[in-house]
Amino acid sequence: MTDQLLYLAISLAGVAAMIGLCALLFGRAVATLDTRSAAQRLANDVPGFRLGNSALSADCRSAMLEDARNGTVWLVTARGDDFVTRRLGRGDVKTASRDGAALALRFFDFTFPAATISFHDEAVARDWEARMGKA
Amino acid sequence: MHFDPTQLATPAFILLVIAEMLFVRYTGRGRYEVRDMATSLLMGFGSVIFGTVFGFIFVWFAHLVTPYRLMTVAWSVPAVAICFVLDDFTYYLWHRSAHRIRWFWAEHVTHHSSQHYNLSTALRQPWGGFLTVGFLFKTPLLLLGFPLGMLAFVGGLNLVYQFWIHTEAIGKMPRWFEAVMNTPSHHRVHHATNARYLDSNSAGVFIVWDKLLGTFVEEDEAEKPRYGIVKNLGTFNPFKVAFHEFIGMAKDIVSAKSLRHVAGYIFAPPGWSPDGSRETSDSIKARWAQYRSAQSPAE
Repeated sequence: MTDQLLYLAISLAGVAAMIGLCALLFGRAVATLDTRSAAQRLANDVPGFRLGNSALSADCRSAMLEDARNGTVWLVTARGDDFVTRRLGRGDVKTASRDGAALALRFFDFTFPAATISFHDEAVARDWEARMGKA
Repeated sequence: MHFDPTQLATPAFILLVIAEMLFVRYTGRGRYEVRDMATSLLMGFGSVIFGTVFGFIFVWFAHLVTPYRLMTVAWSVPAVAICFVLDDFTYYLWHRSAHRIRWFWAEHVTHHSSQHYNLSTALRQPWGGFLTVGFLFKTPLLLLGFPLGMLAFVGGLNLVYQFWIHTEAIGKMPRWFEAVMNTPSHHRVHHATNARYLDSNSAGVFIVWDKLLGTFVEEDEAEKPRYGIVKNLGTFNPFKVAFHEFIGMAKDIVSAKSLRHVAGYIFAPPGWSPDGSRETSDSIKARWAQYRSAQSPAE
């Protein structure tokens, strides 16, 4: 029992040391994207994806893109130094609300936290809110 | 006899992760991200706790089965060697099932949930093994007469071997080694979400099982592996990482309209749904093949 506790204590100290060193060496990276890289990411995640309309958030950390084949709307958003993608269909988005140029989204997928995507322009936010409604 | 190779190897794991981080920092070969890494390490730490708390289930099961064994295998070097090879084959079978049957995938998905591929990913271990009872795959070895201690020992060695293959820092090993053993190259393919790589290379130590059973795919230098899962997680929360698929499966079962659907949600491949509206690895591969042939009809 004492051995087991010692092992756990050493492991925990090792975990803390490794996380500290990782933060020191690599910092806290934040991924950013442009329309091209967002489309590339979707083409990887969704074989056959063809870029239609798209809009980039003001902080360049999220993008909303339309698949030209079927009008499906997709979100590409930063998580750490990488991105995750989600379809923004009726069965995926729990609530969507707009406040000026910002779109607030909540998802049925509980592993995907609520997101607020701020665009440069209110018209863009309104346009994508409407597109999501149709998708 | 109690001798746990993973416990003994832990200091080496820590030193090697540190060495790899320094290597990545100064060569740019590979990627580390602090939140991703913290999640992986906490998953590893948590799996030790869960293993300690629930390990008795396997011990109890082994004691239940042991009276029915065909013979009693005594500890010896040849016995351990044979046990190691046979255990690796049962690992292959379990691992293949873990990618084809949602019940086992619910546990194993944890290990694949990082979009990074480095030594810390090796430590991203599941917490839900006690729920899926994957140890049942070891039943034939218990019935053959291998003692529980020997199975635990070779299982530990198997895990220790698999640690070093979770890296982008190593390209390819010598040809003879790549032919027989699981290597970083083979295992990168296994962790990749590229359609062509999905559900391949399930080996633990010996890649020959994949070659013999038709699940081997060579790493293509023209197509760099992209890591993670088909629907990557939007969270670093270890509890959500550990149990999200179990929760998803439970929700599906509750909403199922028939027993056939319940069975499908549990035993069909991950992504199965009654109306086919979700994606399985097979449907992704089929769509990718269709798209690829449309792009280059001459191929």
